[in-house]
Amino acid sequence: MALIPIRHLPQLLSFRTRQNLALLCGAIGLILAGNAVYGAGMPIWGGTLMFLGSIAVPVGLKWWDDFSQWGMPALVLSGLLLLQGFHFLEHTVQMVQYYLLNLPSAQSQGLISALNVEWVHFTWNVIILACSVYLLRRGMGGFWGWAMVIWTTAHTLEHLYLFVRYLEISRELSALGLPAYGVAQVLPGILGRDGWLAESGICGRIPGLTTLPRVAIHFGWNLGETLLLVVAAQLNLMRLIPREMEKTHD
Amino acid sequence: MPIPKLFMMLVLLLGIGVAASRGSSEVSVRVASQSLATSACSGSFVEHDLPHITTSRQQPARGTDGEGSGLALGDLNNDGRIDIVLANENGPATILWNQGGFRFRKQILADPDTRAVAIVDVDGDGWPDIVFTHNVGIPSYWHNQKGQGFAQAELPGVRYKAYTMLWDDLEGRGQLDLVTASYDTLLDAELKDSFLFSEGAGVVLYRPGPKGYLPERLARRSQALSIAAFDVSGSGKRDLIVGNDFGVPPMVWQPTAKGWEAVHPFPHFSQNVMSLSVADVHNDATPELFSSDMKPDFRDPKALVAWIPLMEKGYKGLTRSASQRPENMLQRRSVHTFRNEAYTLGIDATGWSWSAKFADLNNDGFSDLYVVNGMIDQELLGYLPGGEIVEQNQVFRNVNGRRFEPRPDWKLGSIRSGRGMSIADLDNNGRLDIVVNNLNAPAQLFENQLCGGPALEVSLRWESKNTRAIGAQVMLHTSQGQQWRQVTATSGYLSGDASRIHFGFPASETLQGAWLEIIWPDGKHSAFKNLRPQTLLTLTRQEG
Repeated sequence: MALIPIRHLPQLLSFRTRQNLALLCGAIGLILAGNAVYGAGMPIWGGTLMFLGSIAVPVGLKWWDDFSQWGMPALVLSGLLLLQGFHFLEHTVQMVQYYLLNLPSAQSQGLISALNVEWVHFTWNVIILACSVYLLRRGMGGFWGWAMVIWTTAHTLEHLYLFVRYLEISRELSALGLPAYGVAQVLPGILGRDGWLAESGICGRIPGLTTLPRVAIHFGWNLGETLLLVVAAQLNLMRLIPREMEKTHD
Repeated sequence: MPIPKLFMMLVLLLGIGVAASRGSSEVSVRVASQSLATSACSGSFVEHDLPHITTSRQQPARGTDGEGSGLALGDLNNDGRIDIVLANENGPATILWNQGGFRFRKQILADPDTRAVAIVDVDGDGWPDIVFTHNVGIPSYWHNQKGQGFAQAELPGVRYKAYTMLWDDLEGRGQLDLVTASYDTLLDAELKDSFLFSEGAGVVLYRPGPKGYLPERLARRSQALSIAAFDVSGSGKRDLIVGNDFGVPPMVWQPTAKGWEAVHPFPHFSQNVMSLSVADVHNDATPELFSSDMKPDFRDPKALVAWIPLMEKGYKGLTRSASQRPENMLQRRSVHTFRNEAYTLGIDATGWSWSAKFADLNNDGFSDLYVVNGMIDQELLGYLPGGEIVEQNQVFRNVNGRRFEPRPDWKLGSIRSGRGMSIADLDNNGRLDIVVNNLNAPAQLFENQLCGGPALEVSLRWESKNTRAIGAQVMLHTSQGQQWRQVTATSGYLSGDASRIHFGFPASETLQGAWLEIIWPDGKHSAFKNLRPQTLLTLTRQEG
């Protein structure tokens, strides 16, 4: 099989020869998840996981193709773009739930609400940061690459603060003989309304940074992260996947 | 700590004030002036225990038992010193007669199970009386026997059960109206079916009539913990605001030609209003309305833990567009509505907040905020030792009306579960002291030893049934701006205020060219010049 040299992100993100399989699996996943959620009353997070499971095979095959054709940087970049894209979709859904559907913040938890917990957020961000640093070392540098890494680091620090505080609160609750509470997973962090920055009084109340609710703050974090990743990846695609890395399969 | 000696020079000047030129609306004032003492400062408050403990009926407290009682400040025997009356939800009340130098003579007042207390001249004889509300029942009235003690008397026509009350000259007729409101949760718990099938209580406005008070029932049910008079419409007339617990929206009535009409002026309000107070935070002569609520400091995990189980329930239904949120709010009038400035100013989260009042504690010309807090409820907080949320009272310095900064160095961070609280100058030295009625712990007096500027204190007298001019507004105009105060009998949570008002100002302010403007409850104006720092002025309105 001969490949067109990769010059644009859509080429990297395309399922290429796996497109029909991906469409078929996606359609089956949608039908199954829709029936499970609207027919059998499964929670939305269950239906979402069912859909993700159904497309896991074509996605896995696509990533194998990326790796075997363009090497590890392409696999990492492709994986990062897809996962961060889905993660950003999660935050977009949360925004819709909170701002448009007027749901309480406790119910504005996106598609996979069961995973909207601090250790998942923290682990996720550490993985994203590690991937970003890897790509930086493999050529995704320049202004946008560094901006992406700095932004991701700051985002991870916010989640580190949230995670450490969550552990502290969990320990204190446990000492009182109390169970874990969902509300402890949605507390404000450094930024945002009631966040550390707002309450510390260091720089007063800054519109947005110290006034937005957590759902909007993390939408902002991920919007920035996704945009910087896309721009940095597009501008550095040639360096990440040089022509000599492009293999031709017969 | 050494207790400063009280020394006052009596009557330095007696004269007739200069009335401002406001046509037929002007009235002149007769002036009596006396110097305020000066005393050393240490830069913080000094705590004194008072010989009174408000106790809960059950140990630990359960339900509404944990909500404690109030206190009132006022000069009961007209000796120039402000006395203290402490209510007690489970036992007799206490009068602490101010002997000067922070020495008090204790007198038990055999009125059991009291909640709110006010010191007001109910009958207009010039001697302040005492009125209590109770756990269950109608308000009780103790008539001042011209400084020789108190005799229990009837408030004829007052017949609805009340938890909180407001005394004010709402319609500017020179007589005090009484507004009472019930806390139906308490009545339901205590009286059960007999309350359920009764005519209820709710919010009642009593106007004094020739044969007693004439009730006008404004609401049949309420969960009221506080009532305030506040000019919502900006018309110059004060409206009536009842702050409710348990997410019941605030009730607001405006005086109209047809009577008191319910309005809904606030887009957002506190969800569980524990107390209401009115103050001019920005020194722009436009007062704001502050409501206290329950909100922890989110930065402190240890403090937050006590709140997490409550937040799990309380925040469950809290949407972006919710009109009520569990936090303190400061309602500031904008063009056509009100906006909440508490968060912007940094005074939205003060724990489980009860009485919250503004006063210029450091005499810098801006009103600071003191909030007492904590909660004991074995049912709700059974997961905590003693069923108690232990929190430090919070004090915030008003920084030029732009923000509030916490001042733990003022040493007001008591953890005794304060409920009622009031602020006045108890040693006549121009600095405001604070009295707190705690639950299941001795009441406290915080002696002000902050090193601020001088003060000007003003007592109004009006030869009417409203002898202390409750409801009057007083503005101090100086070269550095203006300060607004209002004479109130009650504010905060279940607490009564002294009718003497206080202006602090920086030491650099000499009051050269400064003047006082008084808007009496009936709308008439007076003005007085020739002001001197560290003075207590008694201004008596001269008719004609």
